[in-house]
Amino acid sequence: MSLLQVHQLVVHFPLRSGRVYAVNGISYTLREREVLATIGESGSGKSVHVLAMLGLLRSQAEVEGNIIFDGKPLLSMSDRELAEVRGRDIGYVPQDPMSSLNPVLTIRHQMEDVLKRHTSLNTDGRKERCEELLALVGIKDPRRVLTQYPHQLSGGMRQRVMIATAVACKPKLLIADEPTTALDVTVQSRIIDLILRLQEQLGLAVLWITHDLAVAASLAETVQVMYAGRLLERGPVRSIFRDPRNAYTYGLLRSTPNPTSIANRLPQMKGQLPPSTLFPIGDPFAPRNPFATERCFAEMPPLVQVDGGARGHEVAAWYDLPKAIALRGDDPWQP
Amino acid sequence: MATIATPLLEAVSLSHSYASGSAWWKRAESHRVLRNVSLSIYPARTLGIVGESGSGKTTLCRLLLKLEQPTSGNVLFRGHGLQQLSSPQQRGFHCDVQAVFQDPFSSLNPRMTAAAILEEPFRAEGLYRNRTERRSQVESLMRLVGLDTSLLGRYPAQFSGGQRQRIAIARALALQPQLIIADEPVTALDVSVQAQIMNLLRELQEQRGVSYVFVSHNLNMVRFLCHDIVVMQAGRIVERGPTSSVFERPQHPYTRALFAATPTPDPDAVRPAPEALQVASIPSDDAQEIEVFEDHWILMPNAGTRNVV
Repeated sequence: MSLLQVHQLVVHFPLRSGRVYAVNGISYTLREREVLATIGESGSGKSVHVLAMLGLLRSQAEVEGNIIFDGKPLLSMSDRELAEVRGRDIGYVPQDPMSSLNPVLTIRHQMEDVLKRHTSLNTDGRKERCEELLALVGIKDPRRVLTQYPHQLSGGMRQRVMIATAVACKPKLLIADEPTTALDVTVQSRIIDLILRLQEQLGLAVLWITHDLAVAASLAETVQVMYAGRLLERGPVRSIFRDPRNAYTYGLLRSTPNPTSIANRLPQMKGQLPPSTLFPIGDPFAPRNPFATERCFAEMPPLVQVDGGARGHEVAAWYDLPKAIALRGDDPWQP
Repeated sequence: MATIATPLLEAVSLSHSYASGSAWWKRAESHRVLRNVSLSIYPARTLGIVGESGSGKTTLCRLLLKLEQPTSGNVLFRGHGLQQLSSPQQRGFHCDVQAVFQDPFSSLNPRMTAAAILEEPFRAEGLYRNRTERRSQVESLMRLVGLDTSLLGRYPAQFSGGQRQRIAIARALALQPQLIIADEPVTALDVSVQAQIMNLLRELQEQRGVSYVFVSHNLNMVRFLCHDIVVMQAGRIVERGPTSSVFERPQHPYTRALFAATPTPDPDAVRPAPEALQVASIPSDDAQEIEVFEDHWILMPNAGTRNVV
């Protein structure tokens, strides 16, 4: 059953002159207990779409479309109703734990805030629950950590505290916005393991935002690729990595250095993301896409099931990538 | 490292401490961030430095650039100690050793145009005093890093991250250096732009024979660019050698943990077992280096392991 349905989500920021077209109509669904990774570069709208979903951009952005979470329409909820959902049914883990924890309050104070808001536990009950939660995320000495301040903890520990807080009210959905980007690789690996364990133990659905293909490959069931506020491809992780059908996905995969094939040059996509102040007409990747057809520049292709691809593998492209590659003969991205 | 050439830059038993926490009622505590680090950088070679945060990578770069003086030990430039350079040698050092930093948003002056940024090294060295000559040098630098010369009048804020890093690289190249010390030069950039910068670094090495010190925590990038690598943990070099040897047969437990933890873009790759991520305990001061393969050295690990998180 689908837990989250995003339908034609549009997020634009009005500026004094013009506007920023951050998200330009994306639609997808997330099943219960599904681990979905959203891959995108900076400016792709991957984080903005989540903030809009959580109602955190209401004062600054124009948000249109429809988001159904657990049967309830998120975008039309009042702030008060939304506050009930946030932190209780949807947990959120930010990128940088240091800037999301308050430096002058103890860990206990900050964890208890969530429990005060969403549960009827008394002081003792809350303290006990905090200890349980810290133990759940693998902190060995919960009692001591509760009395500490954020600066006394390492980056990995802080991120564990954030995760413990995010799952405090047994949410159905955990949104993790680049939760490991600021961490060292060995710590990153443990945090990935932790979130996967919690996902299984607590039956969470996870929406993981990342720019790192390798991280997405190591944890997701389903992957979707965003570019300039659009979804270009989506499907089971193996199909996306083994049989990409959008030129951007293909280019991203190729330009990531791979330990098994050491070449003299990395294949590179030319150019850069279009400025977000221009509304992309047509496929936003078309100007950088050597396989683009005329139609790509004029009209945004819809996200449709790949012909002969795995079930649920959808692509937005007017060209047939394997055919286009075969037809070209040479490799347009080999410098 | 099997070259007969003399090293361009050498670190000899570098140690460095930072003082912190001093106040009128207590003495400063000293934190040792580098301990007994020695390495050599050869012409037209790339040395990769990997390690996690706090391992001393950035401090090492700062010492190699003479931005700080080591607490003990020495940096030798063409065989001469950095502290004892005569003033022409000093000049030579500043021309020959240049830096590219991690964040192209903070390493370029926001109030200078690209042209002014690229002219500055020439002004500092008193080169190309003729305006048209200087302009043509600046234009050739722009072309060298793949930027259009029509962008010279723009300010850093008008460039994308990748373009800014290209300007930072162009500035580093202005004085035709022998060595560029690049501290995480692609970390702040987008995936599709990283490949462009990596290829640019490689091209420049082939064309100009420039050497690099390339600091990164992205092991795949290091493998792509570097001839030799050193792995640092808690201020010490725990493993060093030719890149292929270190990557194919890592010996030190810390190196192995780092490699195991690095995710690969392959959905069928197996997640590392928790034991594989056990980070070796911090090397003791009297730990000895041994050669495990040709030119491939490790610091003898001590018994026992430690969990970091």
